[in-house]
Amino acid sequence: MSEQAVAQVPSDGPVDPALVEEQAYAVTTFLNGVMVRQVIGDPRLETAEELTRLLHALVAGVAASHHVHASQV
Amino acid sequence: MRLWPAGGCSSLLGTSRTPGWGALPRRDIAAGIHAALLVDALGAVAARLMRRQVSDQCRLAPPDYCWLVRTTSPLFGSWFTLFVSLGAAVGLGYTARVAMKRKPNVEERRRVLCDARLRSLLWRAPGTHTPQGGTTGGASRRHYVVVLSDPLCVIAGNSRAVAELDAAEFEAVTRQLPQSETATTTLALLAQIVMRSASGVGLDRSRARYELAFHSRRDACYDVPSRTTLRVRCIERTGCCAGAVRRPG
Repeated sequence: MSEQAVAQVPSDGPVDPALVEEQAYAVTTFLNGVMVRQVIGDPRLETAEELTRLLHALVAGVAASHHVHASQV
Repeated sequence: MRLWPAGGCSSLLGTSRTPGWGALPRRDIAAGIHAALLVDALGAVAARLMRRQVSDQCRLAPPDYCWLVRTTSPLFGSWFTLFVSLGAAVGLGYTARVAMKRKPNVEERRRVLCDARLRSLLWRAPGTHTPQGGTTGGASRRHYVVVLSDPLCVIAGNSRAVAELDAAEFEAVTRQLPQSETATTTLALLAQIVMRSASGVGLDRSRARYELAFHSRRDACYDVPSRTTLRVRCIERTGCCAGAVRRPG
């Protein structure tokens, strides 16, 4: 589901499966951390919109990092 | 019989040594106890217990100014210990004595705790595997034996229930989101689900999910076939079932 979610995010070029997998891994891990914080009673996020913004930023950041890494290789 | 060691109960609290038998007038003792109860919430709880249940069983003995307490249960005995320690913390000059203390039935208490733990273990899997037996206290003096289905079945049943509830939650969120937003980004859907799991029943389910994850990883080391019947021995001394699961024979 995370792969589907990040695949729906608009990108500049063609969809890179490796990038999608990396983004999905980052999103899943981040959401897992958010939920752990909720479980232990330390929620920092208040609204779903805030979390959505962070997820988009995370996906964009991973994509930028992926492109930079690919250009260096 | 002294309730505390020779250093007095104040030694356990890190304060000065309790002087000994009562040299203070009764009204000073009462005032000190009252002050101690006012400054400590636990003391307030103890005071409520004293007023409600046991006020008629405590009295001050004029010759020695010591407390004489006739306990009715081990629980009350513990509360009285707290009560006396609070009084000693403010420097009261008396020593607690127990005139007639009922012998605590440790065996019965452990049995009750053990049975409660086994019951919770037995009935925590709703609608999945009916327990095939019950507690049989006569099997051994030091052990309670209960016949359970596979503990992995219990974990699987709980996991299935959590997964079903998660699926229902997912469908509910999908229906509630605007169609346009659902079409554009699934990240918003994920965020909505995560935020709904931060409170109420969602939070309980999140906690259950993580507990199940840890248990499934831990109990996987048993490598038990799904139809195996296990005997769970609950060691009475610790009152704890964890770590006592063994294969029969």
